Parts: sequence; C-alpha cells; structure tokens
Amino acid sequence: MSSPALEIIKLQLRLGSRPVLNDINLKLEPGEFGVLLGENGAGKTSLFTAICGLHHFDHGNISLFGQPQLGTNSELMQNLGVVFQQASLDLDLSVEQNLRYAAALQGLNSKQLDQRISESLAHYGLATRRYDTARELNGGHRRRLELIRATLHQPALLLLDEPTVGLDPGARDRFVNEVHALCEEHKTSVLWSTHLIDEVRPRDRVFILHEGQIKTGQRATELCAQHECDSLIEVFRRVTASASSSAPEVQ
Amino acid sequence: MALSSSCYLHALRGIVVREVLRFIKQRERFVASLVRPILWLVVFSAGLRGSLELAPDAFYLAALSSPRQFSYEMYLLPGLVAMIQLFSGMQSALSMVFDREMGSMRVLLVSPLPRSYLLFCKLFAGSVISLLQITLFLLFASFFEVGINISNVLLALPLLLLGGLCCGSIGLYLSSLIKQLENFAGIMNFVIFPLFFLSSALYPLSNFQEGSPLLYYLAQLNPFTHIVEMLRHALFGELKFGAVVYVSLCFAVFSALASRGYNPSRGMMKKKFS
Repeated sequence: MSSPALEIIKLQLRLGSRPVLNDINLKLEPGEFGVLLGENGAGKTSLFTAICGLHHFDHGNISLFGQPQLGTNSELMQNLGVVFQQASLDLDLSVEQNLRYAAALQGLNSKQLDQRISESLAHYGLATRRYDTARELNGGHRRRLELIRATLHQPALLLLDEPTVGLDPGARDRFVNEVHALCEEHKTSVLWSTHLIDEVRPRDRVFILHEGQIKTGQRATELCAQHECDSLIEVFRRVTASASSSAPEVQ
Repeated sequence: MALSSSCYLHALRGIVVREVLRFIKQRERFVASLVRPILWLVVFSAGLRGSLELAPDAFYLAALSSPRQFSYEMYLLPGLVAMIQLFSGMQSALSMVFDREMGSMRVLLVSPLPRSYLLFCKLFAGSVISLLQITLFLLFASFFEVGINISNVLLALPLLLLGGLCCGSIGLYLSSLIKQLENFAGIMNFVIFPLFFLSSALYPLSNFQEGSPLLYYLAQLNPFTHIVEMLRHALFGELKFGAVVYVSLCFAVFSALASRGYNPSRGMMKKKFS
C-alpha cells in the first residue's frame, strides 16, 4: 500500500506566544483533491508555509509520501509544486523567462524544458503570450502562469493557497476546473485552501480548519450525508457553530 | 532521487540570467550605477587632486614607466571599482528585501536545492552584475590617464568576483535583519557611507593615522578597506595576500550569518513567513 501524499500528525504551531495551529491531523492520499476550508485568519497560510518548510513548527510531524518534511529535503521538495496566495511572478520578465527561472530552481535542463513550456502554454491558452511580460497579463492569466510554473517539474503534490483571490467568477470557475482536470489526468494530489465554498466539488475531500484545528476529513458528499445537510455551507455552519456563527463567504 | 551536479549548475545559470535580465530591464538602475562612479572620477578627483599629496607605492612604480605618471585618478580608480561593488551588493540586498515583501522569494525557497546554495547563487549573480558595471566603468575610465591595462584587469577577475561576493554577503546579511522595504534605504546609507569613507578608497590610511588613531584602527577593521586594497594591488598587477585572506574570511562570516538569517527556524524568516 502506497504512503499518503501528505500526512500531518498532531501539528502545533505558534507565532510568538499566540497558538495558530493546534493538534492538526490531516491525511491526503495520492491522486486525491483535498480542500482546506476555513475563514480568513483560520491558519490556512500558516499550515501551507509549514508544509513547504518555510515555517518551523513546534510539535508534530509532516510527512510527504511517507518521508518527514524537514524543510530542506531535496527529494521531497522535487515532488512539491506550490501556488502561493500572494502573486510571486517577476512582472518585468516575460512569460517564458518566468518559467525558465522557476525550472532552473528545480534543476531542469533546457532540453526537457522547451517541450514542457510549449505544451503547458498551449494547454492553458497562453501560447501567444509567451514573449509578453507578466505585467501585461490579466489576473486570470497570471494565475494560470503560476499554475504552469508550479507544475513544470511535474510534482506529485500540488499546494494552492487561495489561488483564486482577485479573480472574477468566470475566471475562478475555469481555474478550479483546470486544477481538477490536472488532478484527474496526471493523478496529482492537490491540497487547495480557500474560504469560498463554491470552489468545492462533490468528490473533494474537505478539511474544515477552524480555530486552529481540522474538524473534518471526509468527501463533500459524505459530509453532507453524515450531517444530514443539503449543502456544504450548512455543514460548515454546523461544524463551526460551537465557537462562531459566521460562515465563509459564498459566491 | 538525489540532485545531480548539473541541477546545481542549471540553478546557478537560471538565477544569474534572471538577475542580469532584471538589471538590464531596470534602465534607471543601469544608468545610475554608471553615473555615480563617473561623477566621482571626473568631479571629485578634479576637486581634490590639488589638496592631496600622494606618494606612489612600489607596486604603482613597478607598473608605471615614470613616477610622474602617477595621478590621483590612478589612486581613486580602485576605490571607485570597489564602490560599484558596494552599491551593487546593497542593491542586490534591496532586491532580496523587495522579493521577500512581494512574495517572489518563496519561489526560491521552495526549490529542492539547499538554501545556502541558493543564497550563494544570488550572491554570485550580484557579483556578475557588478562585473558588468565595472567593465563599462573601466571602458569610460580608460579615456583618462588611470594606468589600467587589460591584462591586469583580466588577471584581477577572480578578485573582482571575490570583492563582489563579499559586498553582496554584507548586504545579504543586512537584508536578513531588516523587516520592511522602507527601512532598508535608511539602513543602506547608514552602512554604505561609513564603510566607504572609513576606508582607503579616497585617501591613504596614513592620513587617518595622523588625524585620529581610533579612526585608523576602525578603518583597518573595515572589510571594505581590504576590498579596496586587494583591488588596488590586483589592478596594478600585484597580489596582496593578506587582503585576499581578510576579504575571504569576511565573505565566509557574512554568508554564514545571512544563511542563518534565512533559515525558517531562526532569524528573519521565522517572523516573515508567518
């Protein structure tokens, strides 16, 4: 039996004296699409930075494909692709130059790269923008470029931290579908963090993060059935009701 | 799968290409980097030439056919070359702070390559950029009687790289300490000017010795003094071994401190990526 793509056990993280994540447990199997659902400030980005090795955590374990994440393990990082919440493109460089830079950081050589860049740009409808600067792209195209950049080295686990922030509903919907297609076609494991419930698909595994703890870990349909609710928003309200009556934004 | 040595080379090449492209596309930075030393060479040396009486050292005399050929511009030139490296190092550090603020540094830090190696690549890229600036500056300076010949410049290339790396590592260490972009401009002035004026870039250290022994000792501790002296000798065909060792040690110490500062479990990164 293969190891989980991502397994987090009893993770605790503090920022100064303030506890941010408390006893986090999460398991994502290979090829699964997981959604980390939580309100603003729930700790989603902190959890992502800890998974990426960008933040030291106090207690607990994070394993990627059965190996502990120690922040500088090259083998693990080769399997990881990340789209950050904050846009991180070089706006003055062209689309191609941005991709070549990211590929170089993964140690990819030019021969492998030319074909992958061409295929990816064609697949995501950016082939004609190859030599434009990132500054010239609209928000949706910039996000697609970040997705291409994160998947250029064909990672087995893709992390996306609120990747649709700032996109209009149409662009958001297309982007969600593109990542789901990527997950299905390449069996890439995906952990997608969001506070927008309409981005969750029925078969996605939903991890509701509330007050620094993961409250659920079932598929969206199973959650609705278990809580006898018609929609995920109702499930979310019920799960988080004990501490707060607010629900995430729904569009 | 372990990373092969070619992966390291691809990353180094990628980072250098990115930094050079950014430098070329930022035309104002490109022009400013040249105008600054040119102004010092043309204006400052003209103003100060008459008031400084400099006796040429032996290595100058060995490189010149007559002591009368020695000029203040000749003395000033290595200091201005080092000044380019100092400003370039601080500029690279500023771009690190900017990248951290804007989020693009995360792309660097989630690379499978060791962080210390990636930071070295950034330093190396900054040093390559300073070499480009120095080449253009020396082309301009060759119209003045500065006594530089191309074979000495080529022989000095490794030391020019070392000087660039050392200045870059000082900047990188500072960038690991500073939280916000706005603060960095003030810190840059606070660091650049003492390093520059408290060195032998503009006048010999013996002038300090006469005026203030304390300043003389501080100038001798200043890494920038040793960069200037290393380059001064190298550009006139001599290796100043003590300066090379001192600069190498400073590079190692500041790089180690910067690497520690960019470690997520310590220093700035612990606060920044939360």
